[in-house]
Amino acid sequence: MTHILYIVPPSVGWGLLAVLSILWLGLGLYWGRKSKNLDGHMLAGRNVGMALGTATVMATWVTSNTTMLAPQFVLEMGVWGMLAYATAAIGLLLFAPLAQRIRQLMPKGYTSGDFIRLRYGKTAWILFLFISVFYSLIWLVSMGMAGGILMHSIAGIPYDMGMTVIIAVCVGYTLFGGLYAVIGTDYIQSLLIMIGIVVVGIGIYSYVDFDTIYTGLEQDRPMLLSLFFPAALMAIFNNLLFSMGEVFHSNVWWSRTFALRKGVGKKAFRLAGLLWIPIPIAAGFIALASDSLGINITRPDMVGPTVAAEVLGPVGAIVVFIVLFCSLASSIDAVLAAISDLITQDVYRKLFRPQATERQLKKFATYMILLVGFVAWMLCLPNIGTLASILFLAGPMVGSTIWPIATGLFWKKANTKGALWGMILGSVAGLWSYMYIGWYTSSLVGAAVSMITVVLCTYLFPADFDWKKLDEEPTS
Amino acid sequence: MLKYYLLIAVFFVLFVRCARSDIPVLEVAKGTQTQQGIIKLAWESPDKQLYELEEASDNLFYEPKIRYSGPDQGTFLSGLNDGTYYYRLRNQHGDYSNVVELEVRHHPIQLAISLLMLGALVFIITTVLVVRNYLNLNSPN
Repeated sequence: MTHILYIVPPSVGWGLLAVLSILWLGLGLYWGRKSKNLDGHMLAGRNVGMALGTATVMATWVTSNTTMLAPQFVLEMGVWGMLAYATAAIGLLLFAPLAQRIRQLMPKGYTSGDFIRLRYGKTAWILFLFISVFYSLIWLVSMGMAGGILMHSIAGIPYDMGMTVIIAVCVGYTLFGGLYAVIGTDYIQSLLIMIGIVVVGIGIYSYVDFDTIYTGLEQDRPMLLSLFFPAALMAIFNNLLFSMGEVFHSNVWWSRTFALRKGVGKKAFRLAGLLWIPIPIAAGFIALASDSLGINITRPDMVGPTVAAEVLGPVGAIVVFIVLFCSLASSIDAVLAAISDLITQDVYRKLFRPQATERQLKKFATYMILLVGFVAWMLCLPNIGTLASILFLAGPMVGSTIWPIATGLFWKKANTKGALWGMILGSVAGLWSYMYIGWYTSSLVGAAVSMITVVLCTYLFPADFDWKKLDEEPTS
Repeated sequence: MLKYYLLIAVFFVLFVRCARSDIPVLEVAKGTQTQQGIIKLAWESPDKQLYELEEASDNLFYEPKIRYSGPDQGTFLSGLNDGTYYYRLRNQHGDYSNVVELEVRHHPIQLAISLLMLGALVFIITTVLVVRNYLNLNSPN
């Protein structure tokens, strides 16, 4: 770390960390009492209403990616970067109709893996599981890293200590309370995030002068204002398609779809998408003000919290700390629960123990939460790369799942060949572009190649899928 | 079964290697290139002191511009136009570091526009696919 001035003293940072940790763990234990059976633990009883549903979707999407990566995007890509990041809301908005379709086709479903297995067969399912678990781990690692970086930069808490505490706390309350705890804490976290963003936003806007910002950028960072900034132009649809792929394929969103009461999913996803749009714009804008405020940026992924905390002083830094802790926790818990469900349902239950009882499955799911948390912690320790370079590593694979999922839900003719080769060729082409053009093109290339492959295979080898096959009875 | 575990292990090792940051981090004199117009500069010192980072368009620093002044041990610059930039650091004792050269060559605009249009096309077709099928399924007819 090269930024040597901490905004709040480490003692205050440790105090905040302790209070927030005790709060979330206590709530996890409290909500855990409701989690008596498998449906309760994994899907919160399939009865989550509109308010909690919208809050959990929004809070999960307000991750370190929104609060830390959006400002980094703007600092590196300029005004186009701000637009590029805001397009991530489209993933949620377009998933709204899919959520309704998923509930119609799979009223007793558990995971996105279930859908791929029933729709496309075992080979495509194994590849999909690999992509999904890999992406989730990358997401988890990027958030664990963000927690460590944040606590070090704001309060001087050593990176490995901060990262360990945030992962351990999230593992703890997800373990005790399952999806009940995840959704309940998400509700409180989303309220704290929204209040915090409004406080920080008002503080920043009353402090900065737009003319000074513009003049400073024109002089020192001219490409950030340019309409013809090549990397930024490429990033616009890359980010849109990356986020679309994230939402379409990830079990984080499918598990929420299954957990929401019938008829709620479409509205909750749509409302959450609309509520989310201003957050990355507000978070991203403050990155542009760093030069005119005389704030030195040493790590691009810390520009948002650094500027907000330095401008607003120690009290503002505490607000930023709480907002970011909440935004990280609300996503880490969601990903932990989603990977654990995916491995429990799709690997343990379907491959090894089809006759497992609910109790055995619940026990296995808790072991998985511990294991996934441990693996993520191990991967976070070396602190490699920036958040963007880590997260977009999964971009090609994520982008390549959009068309297999979307056509699988609507086209009877969509087939295994298309899904399988779409994911393989899309991932390979996207990885090539990641290596040889830049990370800001990989999801775009992956999604485009996958789309062409799926359409071609549907035309050449049309299937005649029976939608009733998706309504699978639970095996135990 | 062992070979599958090995394959997965190899995959993860390769990906961790690929996950390196593409932001050039310049510690000392080391020529580098960027297509994004960004650079991350870092320096280290055993004792706490003040620094000035100078930027110039020539390696003799005729008209240097101060890009950073303060006690931090690094800075991140972005939004640079095409061109060659030179950087050097001066500590409070007036000692200069070695010169770091950065070459900024943005991607060709044709490539950027082509990928922008391709992305727009994929997005529009995907949106039509989802919205049209959803409306068809939910229409009363």
